[in-house]
Amino acid sequence: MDLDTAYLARVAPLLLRGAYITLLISVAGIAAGTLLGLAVALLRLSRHRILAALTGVYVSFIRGTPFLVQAMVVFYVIPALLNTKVPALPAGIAALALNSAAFTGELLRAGIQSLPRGQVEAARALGLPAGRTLRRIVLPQVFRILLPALTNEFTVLVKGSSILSVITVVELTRVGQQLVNTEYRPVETYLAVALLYFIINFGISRAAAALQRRTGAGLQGAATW
Amino acid sequence: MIDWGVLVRYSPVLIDGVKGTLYFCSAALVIGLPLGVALAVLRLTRHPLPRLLVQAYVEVIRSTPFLVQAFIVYYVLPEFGLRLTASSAGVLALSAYAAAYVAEIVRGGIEAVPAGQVEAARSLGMPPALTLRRIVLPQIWGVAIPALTNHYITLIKESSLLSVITVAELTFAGQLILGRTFRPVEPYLAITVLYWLINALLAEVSARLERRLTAYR
Repeated sequence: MDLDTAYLARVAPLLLRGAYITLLISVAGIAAGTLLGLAVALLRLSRHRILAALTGVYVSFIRGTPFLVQAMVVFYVIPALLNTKVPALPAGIAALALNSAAFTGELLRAGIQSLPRGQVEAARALGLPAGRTLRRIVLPQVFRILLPALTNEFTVLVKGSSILSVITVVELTRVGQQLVNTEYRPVETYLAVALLYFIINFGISRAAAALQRRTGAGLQGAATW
Repeated sequence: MIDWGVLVRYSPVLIDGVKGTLYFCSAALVIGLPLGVALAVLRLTRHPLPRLLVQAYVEVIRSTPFLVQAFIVYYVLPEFGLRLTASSAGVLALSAYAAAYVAEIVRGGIEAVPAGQVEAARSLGMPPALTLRRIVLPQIWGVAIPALTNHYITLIKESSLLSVITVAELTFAGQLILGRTFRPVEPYLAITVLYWLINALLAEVSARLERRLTAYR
């Protein structure tokens, strides 16, 4: 069977717009997820036993359940319990952020723990407050170490965002489904959708490799990673 | 506000859902494992063509969402004459997905075997296939089995997406209960906890297996 290129040319703007939304919600998800993840990492490393334990339960919960189910909990269950309704797009971004917070939180925790203790002790001994020690000494090094792992998480998020089609977020996969429902051309549509995801993720991993070559230059001494 | 009676009434549906999820994931692993080993071996051969093909396959599977792969198996393959039931489409999609990841895990395991062992076997006159079967593959499981159980956990989570192509597994069971009772809270909370239990149990098994398999170190 032949691919209908005229059809593809006609729907290309729709698919590209879907890809753009996919990229947008993934970027929003990873940005909010990394910030929340930092909170997760700091809480897990904190001296408050109860807070650390509760955060541990959160991480285990997110890692142990499918993202589809998490998205449904955010979109259906939580609003139903609160007697309200939430639009799909913000619910979808919130679900992505809550999910990625657990994974980036664990990455950040491992990254923070991999730094030599002496650095933090030295900064504190020189009178640097805890907040600034974190911002100026710890995090810049951690992000450099974690860059490969974080970009990997970003590609996982791009793929995960396809699941938001089930809670009616109109991203790339949803656009594909809508086109299949109206145009009856599953072959061209789904192959194009798969190709667009491939291009996005291939682009991300290439960009990450280039970034890593540039920022990793001064990282020769850190043999632990 | 939460009516636990719903869950009691529909507990057989939930139990069938758990069984379905475990069945599809186990089938995918049983099919994906030998396939993945074969892919890993092909990837390490000196011939560029099989190596490139395997690399492309692994790359495509890993950079596209599983949901889209499931759609392709269920909606695109029929256009090429391969019409599958939802269940077989689910097993096929999940196995194809598992094989790509298993291939990477097994390749990592093979590369972790010291090259000197392979060289020693070869210099003793052992043919390559026999070296692989007798020397290399038996040693990779200490590295590979923990990674494989982790992948099994990933499969359990990804298999929830098969509900979208109407495969009768745990998430589908939740949707079924929602469709009959119009209550989203109870079924979704129930399947969340069930997934969590399954995966926490598997993670524990994985940790024990890892301790036992690496006890010689």
